[in-house]
Amino acid sequence: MIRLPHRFPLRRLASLLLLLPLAAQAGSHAPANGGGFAPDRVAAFGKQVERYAASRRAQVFIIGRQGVPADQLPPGVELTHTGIGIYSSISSAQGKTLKGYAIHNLYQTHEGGDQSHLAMDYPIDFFSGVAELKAGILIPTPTLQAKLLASFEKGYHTRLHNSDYSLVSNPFTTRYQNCTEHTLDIIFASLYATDDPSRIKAHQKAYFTPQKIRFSSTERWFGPWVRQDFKIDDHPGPVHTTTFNAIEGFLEQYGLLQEAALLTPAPQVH
Amino acid sequence: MKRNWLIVPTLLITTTGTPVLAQGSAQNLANSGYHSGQSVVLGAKGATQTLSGLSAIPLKVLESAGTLSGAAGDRLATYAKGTNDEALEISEEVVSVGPAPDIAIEH
Repeated sequence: MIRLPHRFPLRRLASLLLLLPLAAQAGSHAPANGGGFAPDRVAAFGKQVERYAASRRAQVFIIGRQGVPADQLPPGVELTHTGIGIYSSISSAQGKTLKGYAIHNLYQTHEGGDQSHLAMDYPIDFFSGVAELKAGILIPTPTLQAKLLASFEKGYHTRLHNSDYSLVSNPFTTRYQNCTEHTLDIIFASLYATDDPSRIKAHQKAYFTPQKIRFSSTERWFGPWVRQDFKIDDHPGPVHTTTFNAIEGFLEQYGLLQEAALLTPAPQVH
Repeated sequence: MKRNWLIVPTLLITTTGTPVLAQGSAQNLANSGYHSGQSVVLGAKGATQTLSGLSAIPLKVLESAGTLSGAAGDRLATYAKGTNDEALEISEEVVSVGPAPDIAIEH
């Protein structure tokens, strides 16, 4: 799954070494599947999140999840993947038509790889494999929700996708992109009614404050060498990247946030 | 000698639990979670029945106040007119995209 040049066997070894503990944490093949949570718990939590958003009549909301244990996250980073949930009419292969939220994501195409693709999935897919059943929810104001919906209808989310992936992409350049920056790009495209990346980046530089992530010199030097998805050549200085919290701060600062919430599983009723 | 220089920093970064690893874990596991998600659905067969989602069309909800009407475009399916205090309908059934081919083949 990891695409590395065959003429660099040691590089391949290095990447595999790095990915070993990550794969173990992912729990892809754990008995309970998906990070140690039983399927019915993941399904129930997904429904809880849907019902919460539905109770707020959210047609569009920003959703985040925690992919790794909290003690392995950089300071100030709480959630690791961000997508956009849209209230939808869902057609199933079994012939049923359902109502619920579809989640629009940018995912790495291969673990540790430097390419991404867009994919739509549903809450049970979204929360499978997480380290904790926890959902960050940002419900934009109704006006911004309408503009986000219009952007999806116009296909902005696909036209703004940059498949060159970096874990810590600089939101002020178009060199790389990750899931959270893609979400930010869609928000700005919706606000300014444009899918022109240069205009979007200019507006972001003027109004958006990314989050600083501290790296040691060793990490800056050797990180890009051992991981395909850790690229910092788009950062002229310290690494500042888009995070869920940074998006929340932006929406709040400019009065674009109706409600923010961090959901954990509801107590079971017996 | 060159090989030693290559391995040492690798081990340093691998074993020190640095932010590189942490941040890498964060996003990388997000992706791992995606694949794991397929596993959950496969594992859910005995406990939680899931339906396979074929498509999802955004529903435009028309508020009685007209907040969203018109602004979201006309080609979206219109769900309902309602007041601001009514929850949107959520179906009881669990829907999933289903397993990716590389996961499905393992089961």
